[in-house]
Parts: sequence; structure tokens; C-alpha cells
Amino acid sequence: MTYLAGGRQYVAIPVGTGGASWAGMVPRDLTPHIRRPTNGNSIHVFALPADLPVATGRSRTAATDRDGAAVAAGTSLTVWDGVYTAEQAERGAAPYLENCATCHGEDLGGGSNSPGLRGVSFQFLWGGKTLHELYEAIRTTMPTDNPASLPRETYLDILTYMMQVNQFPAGDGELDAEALGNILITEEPGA
Amino acid sequence: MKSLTRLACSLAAMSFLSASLSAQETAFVPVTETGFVPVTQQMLNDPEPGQWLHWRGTQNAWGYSPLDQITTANVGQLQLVWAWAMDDTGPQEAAPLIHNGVMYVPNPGNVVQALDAANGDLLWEYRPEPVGDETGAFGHGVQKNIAIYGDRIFGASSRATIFALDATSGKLIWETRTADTALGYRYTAGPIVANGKLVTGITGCGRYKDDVCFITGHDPDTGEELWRTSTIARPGEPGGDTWGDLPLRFRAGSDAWIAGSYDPELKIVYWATSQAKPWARSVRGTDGDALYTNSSLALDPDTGELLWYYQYLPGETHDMDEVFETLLIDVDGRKKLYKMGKLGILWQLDRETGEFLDAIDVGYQNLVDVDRGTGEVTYRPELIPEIGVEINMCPSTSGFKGWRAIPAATSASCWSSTSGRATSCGGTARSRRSTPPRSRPEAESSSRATTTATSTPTTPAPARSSGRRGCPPRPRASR
Repeated sequence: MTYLAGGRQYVAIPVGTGGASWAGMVPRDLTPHIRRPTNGNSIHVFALPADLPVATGRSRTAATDRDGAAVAAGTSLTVWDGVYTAEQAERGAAPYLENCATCHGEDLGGGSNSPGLRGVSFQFLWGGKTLHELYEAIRTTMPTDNPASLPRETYLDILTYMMQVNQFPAGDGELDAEALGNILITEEPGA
Repeated sequence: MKSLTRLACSLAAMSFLSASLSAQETAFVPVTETGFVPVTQQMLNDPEPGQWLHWRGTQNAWGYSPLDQITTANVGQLQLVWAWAMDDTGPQEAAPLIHNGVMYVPNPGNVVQALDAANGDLLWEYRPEPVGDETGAFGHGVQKNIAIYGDRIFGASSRATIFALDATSGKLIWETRTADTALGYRYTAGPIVANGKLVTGITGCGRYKDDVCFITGHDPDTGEELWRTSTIARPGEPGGDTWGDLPLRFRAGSDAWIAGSYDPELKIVYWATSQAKPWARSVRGTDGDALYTNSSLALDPDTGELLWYYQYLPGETHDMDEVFETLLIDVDGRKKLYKMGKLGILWQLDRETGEFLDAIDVGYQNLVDVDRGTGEVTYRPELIPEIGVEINMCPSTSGFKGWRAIPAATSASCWSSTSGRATSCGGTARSRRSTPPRSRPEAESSSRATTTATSTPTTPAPARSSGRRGCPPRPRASR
């Protein structure tokens, strides 16, 4: 099968052992020396190298009207307004790796039991919500084996690290816990 | 390298899955509908090119995408960008769906996952607790396809249930049982959405029991069963005499184990059935046609009414299944239906009426002769299995074609037969031409093609009075 994601075409190939596959159909008596594998069920997804020029496909979502979204949500800022500093995000990197990466991945890509925290995964979970909601979810439920165990400032730093990985632009002022409810998580304006 | 790392991590994570189920409850943050666009019937009828909303891409089952970034010129440059280890507790024949950059994946063991289609990140997972020993057995746990409609994902399970999940969280919304697994019933094919109804066909119908295989329509909102159409003619019903005098208990098979197609203009669901069970006439106890086995059924998605049927292989006797995907292709203004089963015969019907149009034998079978003018299938007497008599038959019971679906290109002239799977019998196939020609047996008129009958809610009675032309009587070999 093939599809678009973020305007890029992918080809996905599910593989594995189904009905009437060799592993199930060849009599074991005939090939006792061949050890039957488990199914190896998996999906392999291919795309053209990112630096190859491709035609612009249809956007996968309607363009986000940043101001409109913020107004509708009752906030005046979005994550694209430079609401944290690079230094703050760098402070959050170490505690992220120490407390979060085991489940969510060093690259924030997530794992089989933990959602990804960047890109489409992040927007799927958190798009349309405020940073306050995200911060409170992290602060009160994470890490799952010891929720609310870190200082509030550390949770805030980790939050800004997640914002940096998501390529939300850094600005001049540090993110303040008081401002979180006024900042909306949206997709990139015009994307 | 990054992809390999991801794969390795996924594998490692999967192996620890059972240990971390409790953590999953808290690790998952509830997802609101923000960013999720509900799927309408109109979107299913005419999906955007980048979507894949039906198990075969579109409801006509072409398996065709108009996307054109990847071409024959640059296909050699494709690179692996991500990989995902699926549930590995059973066989898999999965057809994922794509909606707005999210991939929904049916897994063995009734597991459904939502992945970020750009990088394979897991968004959610539905993993019901295993019940008893339901993993690993052949065919058990296979989920071929799922459906998306509204804000829900719909599946059908090895527990003979149809279920609805919240497409944004994977949470179970409803689950409806349709049959008793103790009788062998289970699903391997999932639902399709037709005119706002879920249509699903069951399988595991090989055992003797006072019941028969069926296709159902369900309300996607509530899971309520709206209709049920049997795939086997019961004694006393129209077509019931095609099983000889066998009581209901011995009328088995006609499994509906591959999801069908839908024509939204005609408002017809096309669902096909498998061979009768047991496969061989000599074991089955009848050489009758055994309706509605190995047939295409044209169903009203609102009522389940059987609008017409066409039986490809009356009285099948070699395990040659015709259940597979149904391609809907318009050719020169005519609405056609294309189909191919294990024998490797490409059938063409008029999908408005069920009228036979053509049959092309691609030449890998030695069991039957098919008349291209009438569709009549004549079994070669020396190859009809008798107990204790060895025959050399082609193809094997794996078939020339299996469950792997055939794609269609934009033009019917480009209809591809290359994905048909030749089995290891190339030499034997030629033996067909060495078979002496036989005289055409006398044709007899068939009652099945002209029957008009009143229907009851659970009876697949052919209804030909609603302005549709009935398919003409098809001559058939006397036996």
C-alpha cells in the first residue's frame, strides 16, 4: 500500500507468515532440517530520500490558522511564538534522558508502550491543548514508576526540551509556569 | 541505521509487553478528538489520493493509488525509513489503513495499533487479554482488515465478535458477539462500511452443526445486529435442494473469509463465499451445486437482501476456493465485476445484474473446462476425487491464487494477473492439453438462476423483482 504523510509519499509492506505460506504448507516430515521461524510479522515502510525533489502532494491536514486557533482556544500565544530559551531546553535534556528516555526513547520517538513525543505523534496527542495541560500531565503522572517525583522546575525544563526537539522556535525569555495556560500547542503555521 | 535501531527497540519492547501492561495505563494520555477528522461515507466513497481508507485502498478493491511522487523512474531509490515489529503470536495477513497521516494496523491476536505513518511511532494499542489457547493455531488470530468510519476503528475477532474502538485512543467502545466459538466460528476478515452500515462475513464454518455460515450488517453506533444473511441454502428454502437431501447439520462451508467490495452508486455490497465443506463430493455426500458456496453475493447493505448471486463452481470438489477479493471496474460504460479464485480463472460479471460476461482460464489447472460463452464449468470425470483413488490435480489445494489480493490499474486493459501465484505444478498444467476433448454433456435448465421467492429475515432468497434484470439461466452439466 502507499500513502501520503506530511506531503511525502510512502510505500508500506506488511510481511509475515499467513495462510498458505511456505512455513505452514511444506510438510515438516520433508524438511526436518529446516527450523521453522516464527512469523516475523512486521511492516516495512519505504520512501524516497528526503533530499530528492518530489512533487508537492496534497497537504495531509488543513492549514492551521495560528491566530484563529489561538483565539478560538482563548489563548494569545502558541508554541511557535518563541516562548522558551535554548538554555532552558538544554537544562531539560539531561533529566529527560535520565527519567523519560527509557520508555519514550532517546529521540522522543516513543516505544511499543509509550507514545512518541515529537512530530505527528506529539501533535496527535497534544495538538489543540495548552502547555499547561501537557505540563500538568507530565508533572502528575510521570515517570510512571514514580510520578511527581521531580522538582517542578525540572518538569518545566523537560517540557522545553520536548519543545526544542519538536523544533518550536526558542526566544529570549524563559518559559514560566504561570504562562503555560496561555500558550496553545498547534501545528506549524501554514503547514 | 536509525531504522534498524528503531526496529530493535520495538522488538525489545514487544518482548516486555506483558510485564509493562500496567504501566501502559498511566503512560497513555487520553487523546481528545483534536486533530482527528471523522471519516464520512462520502470520504470512503471518494477518498483523497493520500489516504487508504479501505483494506484495498478504495471500495472497488483496486488496490490502486493515484499518488505519483514515486514513479517507475525513481522507485529504485526507495529507502527504508521505518519498520515496525507486529504482534508475532500468530499468522498475519494484515492490510493497514491510512487516515490523515496515521496508520491503523490489524495484528494477530485481535490486536490493533495506531502508528504515526511518517515514522512508525506508536500512538495507541488495543490488546485484549488472550482467552484460553487462541494463539498460534492456523488461521486463528488473523485479522486481515479493519474499517474506519466516523471516529471509530472497527474490527472482527477470532472470538466471533465485531468490535468498535475509539480511533483517537484505541479504547473499546462496543463488542458484539455473533456466533459461538465452540462451534468453530471465528472472524479473519474484518468489516467494510457500506451506506453507513458495517458489513462482515464470518468463517470457521466447516464443522457439522445445526447452523450455517453468514454475513451480517451491524449498526456502527451501537453494535446492534441489523440483519443476517445465510451463505448456505437451508432445506426447504430456495436453492435448498442443491444440497440433495442433506439435513442442515451436514451443510457446511461457504465461509465468507475475505472482505467484500461496495458500489455506492448501485448501493450493492459484493461479498463472496468459499467452497462447501467437506471439500470432496464423495465425503460431502452430495454432488449437488451446494448453494451459495463459491458464489458472489450481491447484498443490500441496509437489509442484507440477496439481490442476485452467481455461483462460479457448482458442486466444487477439490478445495478450490473462489472467496477472494472482488474488483469493481467499469469498462466501456458497463459496470463489471472481476474475480479470480484458486483455479486461476478470471471471471467477469455484470455487477448490476449478475449476468455472466466472460471467463478466462489462465492455464494452470487441469480440473475443469469452462465455456467462455456461458460460464458453464464442466468437471473432468477422471479428476473428480473418489475415496481411495489417487489423482494428479493442478493446482494444489494452495491454489494458483490465494488470499493475496490482485491489483487493478487505471485501465481495465492493464488488469494485472502477475500477482497470481503460480504453484509448483508448471509441468502438470500442460497435461491439460493432453486431456482428450470430451463431448459436451446435455445442458439442463437451472432453477437457481430464475428463482423468485419471498424472503425471510434470515433467508438468502434471491430477489429479482426490484427492477433488476435477473441473470439468464445458465446451462449446466448434468451429473
